[in-house]
Amino acid sequence: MNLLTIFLSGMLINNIILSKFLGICPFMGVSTKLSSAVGMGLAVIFVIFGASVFSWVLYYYALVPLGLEYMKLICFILLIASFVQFVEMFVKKTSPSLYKSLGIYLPLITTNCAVLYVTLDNITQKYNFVETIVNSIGVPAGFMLMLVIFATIRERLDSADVPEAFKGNPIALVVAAIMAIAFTAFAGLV
Amino acid sequence: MKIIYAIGIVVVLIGIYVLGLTLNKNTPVPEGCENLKPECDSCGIQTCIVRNQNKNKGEE
Repeated sequence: MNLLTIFLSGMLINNIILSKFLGICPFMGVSTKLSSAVGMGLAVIFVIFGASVFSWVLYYYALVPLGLEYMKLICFILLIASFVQFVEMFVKKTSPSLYKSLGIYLPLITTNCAVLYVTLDNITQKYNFVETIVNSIGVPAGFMLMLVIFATIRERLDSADVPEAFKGNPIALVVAAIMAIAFTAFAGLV
Repeated sequence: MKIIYAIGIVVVLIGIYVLGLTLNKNTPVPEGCENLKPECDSCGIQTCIVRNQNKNKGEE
């Protein structure tokens, strides 16, 4: 039950975009087309999951025994950057088709604050390894859900009769605000 | 002693990052993926490295 709570909380209730306002750049930048939104969402899920697992291991098996907990921020930044480089190289070598759909978004994810947030949140919440894995899937799944919903709305907005001053990002931000209000309804779920 | 461990860990992580960066740069991009461009034009961050790379590609 606790694991389900962590998953739903990360995905819907404490949605990283609508309640924490993190990852807004890809949310606004890569949500103009559904296909790009799905590609970016999948890449974020993979990177957050991998980075969280490695950072958890680094923290509890290297930093804590050495009494260097205060180093977690700098270590996690370096770890995420390195992880993304290796993932990009691996995808380039093994699967050109996957690189075509996901690889282009990997450099964008390196600077995504959402990845750093999840790795640090796993530590501050004192999650064990299994809880870390569940949280590391739930949070980016919520990110992808938002990205996909938002992309479908924006595709419709392109053909909508929007006032000139609201065209583009202004109407997108209005839509995001309405979505944030709608998602507060999930607060009573768990 | 702690400060040495701290420096050691950071140096190792920087080394891993540099290794990853070098290997990644030396790995050839698969055929047909040379001119891929993320559709992130509506993002407003002017200093983003991806945005600048795309701009340079477009100018070429």
